[in-house]
Amino acid sequence: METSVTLANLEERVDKRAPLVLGRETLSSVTDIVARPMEMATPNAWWICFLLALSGLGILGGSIAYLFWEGVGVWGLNNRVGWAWDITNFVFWVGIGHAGTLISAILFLFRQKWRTSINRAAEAMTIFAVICALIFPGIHVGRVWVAYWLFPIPNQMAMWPNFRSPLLWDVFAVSTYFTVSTLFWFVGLIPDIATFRDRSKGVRKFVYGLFALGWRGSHRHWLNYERAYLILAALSTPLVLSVHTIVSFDFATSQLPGWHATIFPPYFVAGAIFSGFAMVINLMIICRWVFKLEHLVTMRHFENMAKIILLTGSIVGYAYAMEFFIAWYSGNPYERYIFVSRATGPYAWAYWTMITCNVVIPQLFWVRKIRTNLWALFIISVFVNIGMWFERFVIIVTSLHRTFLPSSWAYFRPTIIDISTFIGSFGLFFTLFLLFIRFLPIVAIAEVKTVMPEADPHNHDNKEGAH
Amino acid sequence: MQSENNQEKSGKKYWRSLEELAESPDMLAKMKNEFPSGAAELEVTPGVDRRSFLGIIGASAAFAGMTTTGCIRKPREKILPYNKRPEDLVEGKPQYYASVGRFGGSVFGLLVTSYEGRPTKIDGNPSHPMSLGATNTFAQASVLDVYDPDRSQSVLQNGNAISSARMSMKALNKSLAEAAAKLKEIAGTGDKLALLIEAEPSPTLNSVIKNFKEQFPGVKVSIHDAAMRWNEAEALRLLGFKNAQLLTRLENADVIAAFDADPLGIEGDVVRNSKMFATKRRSVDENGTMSRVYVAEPAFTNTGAVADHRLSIRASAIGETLLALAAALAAQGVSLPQEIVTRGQQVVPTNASWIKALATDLRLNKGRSLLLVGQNQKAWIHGIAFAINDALSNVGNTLEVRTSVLPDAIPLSQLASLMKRGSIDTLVTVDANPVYTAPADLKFEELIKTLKFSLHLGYHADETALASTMHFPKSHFLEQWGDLVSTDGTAAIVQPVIEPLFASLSELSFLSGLMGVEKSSYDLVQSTWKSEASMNFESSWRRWLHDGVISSKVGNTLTDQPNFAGLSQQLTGIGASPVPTASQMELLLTLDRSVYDGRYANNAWLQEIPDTVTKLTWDNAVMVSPKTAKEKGIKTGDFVEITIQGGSQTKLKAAVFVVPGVAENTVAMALGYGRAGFNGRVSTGTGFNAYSLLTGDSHSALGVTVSKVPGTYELATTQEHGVSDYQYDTEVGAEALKTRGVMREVTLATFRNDPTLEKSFKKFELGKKENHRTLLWKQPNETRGNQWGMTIDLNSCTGCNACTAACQAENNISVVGKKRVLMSREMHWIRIDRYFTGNVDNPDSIQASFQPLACAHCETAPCEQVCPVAATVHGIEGTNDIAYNRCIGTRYCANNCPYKVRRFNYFNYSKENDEENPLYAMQKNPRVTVRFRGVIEKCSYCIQRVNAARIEAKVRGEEILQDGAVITACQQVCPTEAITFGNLADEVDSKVKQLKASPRNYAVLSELALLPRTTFLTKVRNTNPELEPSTQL
Repeated sequence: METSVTLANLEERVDKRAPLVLGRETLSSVTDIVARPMEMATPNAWWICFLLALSGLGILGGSIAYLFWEGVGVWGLNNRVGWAWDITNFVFWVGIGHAGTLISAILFLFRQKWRTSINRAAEAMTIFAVICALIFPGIHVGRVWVAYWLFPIPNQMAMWPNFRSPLLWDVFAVSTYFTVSTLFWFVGLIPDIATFRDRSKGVRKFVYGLFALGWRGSHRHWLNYERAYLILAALSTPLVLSVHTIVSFDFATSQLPGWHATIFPPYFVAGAIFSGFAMVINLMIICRWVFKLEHLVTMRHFENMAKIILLTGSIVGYAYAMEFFIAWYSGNPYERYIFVSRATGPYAWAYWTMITCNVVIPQLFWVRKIRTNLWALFIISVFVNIGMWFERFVIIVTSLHRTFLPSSWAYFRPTIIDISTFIGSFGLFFTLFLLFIRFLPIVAIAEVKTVMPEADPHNHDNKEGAH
Repeated sequence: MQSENNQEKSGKKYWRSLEELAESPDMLAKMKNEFPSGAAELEVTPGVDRRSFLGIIGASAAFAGMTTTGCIRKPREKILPYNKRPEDLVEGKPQYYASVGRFGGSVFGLLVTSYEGRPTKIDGNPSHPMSLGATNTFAQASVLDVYDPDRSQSVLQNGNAISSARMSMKALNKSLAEAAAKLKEIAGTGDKLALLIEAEPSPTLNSVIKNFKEQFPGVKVSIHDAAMRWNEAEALRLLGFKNAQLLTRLENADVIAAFDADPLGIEGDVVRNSKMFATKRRSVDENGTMSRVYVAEPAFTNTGAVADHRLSIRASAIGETLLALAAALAAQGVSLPQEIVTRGQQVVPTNASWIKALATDLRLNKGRSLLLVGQNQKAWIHGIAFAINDALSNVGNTLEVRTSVLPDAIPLSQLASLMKRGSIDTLVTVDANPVYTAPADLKFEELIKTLKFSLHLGYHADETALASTMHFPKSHFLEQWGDLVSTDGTAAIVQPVIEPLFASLSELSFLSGLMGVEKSSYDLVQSTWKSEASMNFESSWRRWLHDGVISSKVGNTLTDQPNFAGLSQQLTGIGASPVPTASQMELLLTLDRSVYDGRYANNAWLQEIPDTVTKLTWDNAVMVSPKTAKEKGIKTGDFVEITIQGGSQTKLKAAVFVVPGVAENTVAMALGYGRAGFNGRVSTGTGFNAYSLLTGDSHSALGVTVSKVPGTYELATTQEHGVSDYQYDTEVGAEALKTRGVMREVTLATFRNDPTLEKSFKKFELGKKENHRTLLWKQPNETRGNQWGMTIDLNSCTGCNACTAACQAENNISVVGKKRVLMSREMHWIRIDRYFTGNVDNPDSIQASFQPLACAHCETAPCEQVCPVAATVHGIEGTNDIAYNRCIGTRYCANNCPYKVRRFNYFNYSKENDEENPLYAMQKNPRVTVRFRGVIEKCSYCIQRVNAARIEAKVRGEEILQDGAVITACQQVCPTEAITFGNLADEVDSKVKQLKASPRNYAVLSELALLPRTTFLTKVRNTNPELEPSTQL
C-alpha cells in the first residue's frame, strides 16, 4: 500500500519541512481526486455498503419503534441500574465526535496545517456521531412524547426546566455543539460545494448551487468566508472542552461513588479525543484506500493522529490510576469498595477489557513501525473504540450496580433490544457517512490547496513542495 | 385517622342505613340499581373487554390516572352517578366499617375502608384486643381477593359450570335447593355423611352445624385447616383441659423461648403477639430493660430473626432438647413431673451450655417467662412445654388456657380412613380444599371421587371443587354476615361492606340452604347474639357493629390444675431421635409466609411480597443450609429430587435455594405452591407442590433422600438478585453492618456502657454535624408549619412485610410478575432489607436483621437536584414530592438516590395489571394517582393522608396537625409499632420528635449530609452474658 514517497513526509527536519501533499499533485488534480467519488458512476461496493448501513438504520428504527410502543423496559435496565447501554452509547458517540471539532477548530487555530486533508471527513464524522448520540437521551426517557419538556419552551403549563440538573446542561451543551459543528462544517463546505456545482449538471447542479449560496470565489467572498471560518473555529474551540466536560458532569455532580469525581472533566475530554481520533483513523484509512487519497492523506497524518492517541490514551490511563489512588487516599469506604469491585467484582471482565484496550494496546504506538503501519493503526484504533465504549459502560453500570446500600446491589444484563439499538446506531452513522462520501467533498479542496507548494509565495524557491 | 375518629364520634349512621337497606327488599332492589352493585350487571370472564367493564364501573377515580395516554383518542365512557345519593355518603370520602376476619389462624378485628361502595383497604380495628389497630400481610392482601377475577362465579357440576351464562342469585339458590334435595335423598339420617369444615371459631356457624347435626344425626364433623392446632389441643386434652387452646401474653414475658415456634410470624395470634412483644423491645434505652428471646428452630422464622440467641436445630430434635431443658431446670431446683425429668436426664444434649443458660434465665424470670412450641411439634412436646411453663408459674401470667369455640371434630386422617372403609359416602366440604392440602398418602382426590355425592363451597373453583360432584361459589368475607371469636374470647360481627360481586353464598346460608332452611345469614347471626344483648338488642347490635367488638367475651380461662399422668404415659419410649445425614436427610414442610397453605396463591400482592428471610417471590424452593449444600454439591437454582422413603415413595423435583440458618442436613420447603389443579391466572406456574411430600400428620419427615437432578430453575429474589452464591449473602451483611454502618446493631451490654452510642459507631460518623461546615449550600432549616418526619425502630421490626403489603394496598402499587422481579424491577415502595451476619459454616452463628426502607425524604435530596424537568421537588413540609405527570422518566433521580428507593414504571404496569386481572381496578385507592408507564414513583409519606388530615384541620381552622392526625399506611399496619410518623416542628413534643432525640437514633448514610427525614433507631440485642454472642457485633 505504501510507497517510499509517502514515507518521505514523515521526516521532520528543522531546515526543511516535509510536504503535506505528495506525488506532485497540482491544484487541478487535487480537485479531480476529491470530486471523483461524486462524478463516477455509483460503484457496486458503495451500494452494498449502503444497503448494509441502511439495514442497520432499519434495525435502529425498528428497535426504537418497539421501544416507543412497549416502554423503556424492553432494555435490560432495572430499578438499581437506571442507565446502562443508552447513556453509554450517548457518551460514546458524543466522545467520537470530539476529534472532528478538535481537528477542525483547535488545530486550525494552532495553524496545524496537516489537518486540512482530514478535517472535512472528521467534521462530518463529528456531526453524524452527534446525531447518533442525540438519539439516546431522546429515546431513553420513559415518556418520549413529552421529552420536549427538557427544553425551556414557554408554555401554558407554566413549566420550566430545572437548571440545577446536569441533564439540562447536557441539553444545552450538546445542542449547542451540534449547531455550531454543523454551521462550521457547512461554512467550510461552501467553496467546495461551489466547485462541485461547477463540475456537475442538471438537478445536481441545482442542488449544489442551492447549498453553495451563490459562491463565486470572489475576493470578498473569500474574505468573508475566512473570517466566518475563523469565528466559528473560535466558537467551536471551547465547545471541544465544554461538551464532554458537561457530559461528565452528569456523573461528576451526582453523589454516587464511582461517578462523583472531580477528575471527570479532563479525563472525559481526553477520552473523547482519544476515541474520536481512533474513529478518524478507521474512517480515513478506508476512505484513503477506496478513493486513492494517498497523496492527500499521508502517513504523516496517521502518525500525528497516532501520537495524539498515544498521548490521550496515556492521560486516560493516568486517570484510571488516579481514580484508584483517590479512592484509597480519600478513605471513603464506598469509593474504595466500588473501585475494588470494578476490578474484581462481577463486572471485572468489562473493566479489564477497558484497561487492555485503552491503556495497554495504545502503548504500542510508541513504536514508529506500528504507528506507521496502516493495518496496525486500523486494528489498534478499533480496540481503542471498543475500550472507550467499555469505559463508559464501566463508569455507568459498575457504579450503579453496587451503590451505598448492600441490599440494593444488582446486576445488569442487556437485552436483544439494547444490542440492536446500539448496532442500529452504527447503521445510522454509516448511512450518513456513506451519503457524505458519495455526494460531498471528503477532503477540503480549498483548504488543501492552501498547504500546497503552489500556495506558498516562496514556492519557486523550493520545487520539492515543502511548505 | 381523623375522619375515622369523627365517624366513631358521630357514629351509628352509616351502618344503620346499610342495615335498613339490607332489611327491606325494595331498598335492596333499589340498591341493586345504585352504583356499587352495578357490578352485578357485569360479566367478567377472561375475555372480557376492559373498556366496557370499566365503562360501567365508570366513576372509579382510579381510572382517571390511566386516561392520560397522550395522543390516544379518549374512549367514550358513561358514568353512572347516583340518582339518589345514599345518606351519609360524600363522593370521594371514604367510609369505614368495622368487621372481623380470620387470617392464618388468628381472628382479629378489622376496619374496612370503602369508597362509594368499593372496599379498598383493610386495616386493624384499634378497639379489638387481638388487632389493636394493626394487621398482617394476609389481612392487607385479602382485600384484593374480593376482586380476584378467578374467584368462583358459578355452580359446578362434576367440575363443569352448569351454565355458560352468568349465574344469577336465583339460579344459584335453585341449584342449592336441588343439591339439598339430593343430599336429603342420599344422606338420609346422615350415617354416611361427613361435614368437612375449616377451623372457623364462629358461634353462629356452630349453631348452624348443631342444626345440621339435628337434621342429619349421624353426620361426622371434621376440621381440616392449616391453622388448626391439633397437637396443642391434644396436649391440653392429655393434661385434662377439654376443648381448650392457649393464649399467649407476650406483654408479660421478659424471657421468651420459642422452640420451632413462630409466634411473631405465621403461628397463632401474630398481630397481638407482635404488638405485645414490641412493648418489651421498643422501650429499651441506655438503662432500660428489654425482653430476651431464645429461639431453637430448623429454619429462619420471623421470631428466629429477632432472637437474641438462636440455635439452628433440626425439627426432630426439639422434643429431646426440651427434655434436656426440663432436666436442666430440675437440676436448678424447679419442680417438674418426675417422668419428664427422668427422660430429660437420659438425653445427652448437643447444646448443653445453651440449654443451661436458657434454664437459668427462665428460672430467674419465673412468672415472667414463656416457653412456646410450634404447631409442627407433637403433642407430648407441647405437653412438656406446658409442664415447664406451669412449673415456672408462667401459666396465668404469660400463658392462659382458654376454652375453644371450635366444634368437636375429627381430623382429616380419620375422615379419610372412614371414607376408605366406605363408612362415608357423602361429603359436604365448606371452605376447605383437602384435595390440594391433604397429605399425599391419604390420596384424597381418589377418595372423594369414590363418594356417592360430594358438595363443596369454596371461594375458588379449586382442586376440591373440581373433584366434588357439586361446587358452590362462596362469598368473600367482605360480602357476608358472620361472626368470629378470637383466642382471647373476644367476639365480633363480620359485617359486609359490598354486595357480592358474583352470585355466591356464605357458609351460613350454604349450610342452611342444604337443610332446606331459607334464612339469611344476617338473621342467623342476629339470632345467635340476641341473648347477649344487654337490654335493647337493637342498640346493642348497633354498638357491636360500630365498635367491631361484642362487649361480652365468649368462653373462659381454665384455671384447673393440669394432670400430668396422661402426658407421662405418652413419654414411654421417647428417646433421642435419629440424626439426619447427607444421604438420609430431614424434610421440613412449613406454612408459607406469603400464600399460607396455598389459599392466597392467586393473590398477586402476596405472590410478589418477598419472603422475610429468603426474599424470594413467586416461588417456594427447597431451602438448605450453605454447609449442607456444599457437602451435597448443590447450589441455588439447581434442581433436586426429594424422595420420601417408605411405602408411598413420593417424589418431588424442585429447585434449591441455599440460605443460611437452616439446620444441617435438613431440607425445608414451604407449602402452598405448585397448584397444578387450580388454573388461577396468578397462581399458575408458581413454585412446587410440597404437599406431595406431606405424609401422615407431621410436617417433618426423616430419612429423605435428596439428589441433584439435571436442570436449573430461576428463582426471583428482591435482594441479591440473581446471585446464587450464599457466601455473598453474609458478605453483604458484613458490608452493611460492619463497614458501612447502614444497619446498626449493638448488644444491650454495650449500650449500657456507651449510653450515647458514640463510641460504638464512631467509625461510621464520617459526616458529623461539625464537618458539614463545608456544605455548598445552606442547610434548610424549616420550622414553620408541619414538618414531617419518621423513625423506624429496628429493635422491634420483625420483618413481617405487613408494611409492604399495606403500602401496596394504599398506594395502588403495581405487581410486575416474576420475570421482572428477576430483572430487579419490583415496585414496592417500602422494602425490608434483610442482612445476614455470622459464619455460614456455623449455622448457630447466623443472625438476620431487618431494615424497612422507603424514601427517606432527604432535606438536601440528591434526586431533586438532578431532575431536569423539576418533577421531583421539595415540599414546604419537608416531603420529597413527585408530580407524576411532570416526570418524563430520565431515571436520573433513581440513579442518584443513595437508598435506591425510587421505582420506575418500565412498562405500563397498571394497565397490564388491569388487563390481566380485570377487577383489580376496583381496589384502587381513588386518592392516589395510578402511575402510567415511564414515570418514577416512590414513597410519598402517604401524602394523600396528610392532605386529608390537612383539609379536616383547616375546616377547624388549624394549621398545625395534631400528633397522630396523620398515620401513614405502613405505620398503621405495623404490628410492632416500629414506624412512627409525625410533625418534627411540633411545639408540644410529638412522638417522632421524642424518638429522634434517642441516642439510638441515626440516619443511614449520614455522612452524605442528606439530612433524611426518616431515621432509624439502632437495633439492640439483649444477649445473655453467659453465652457467647452469636455474632460479634
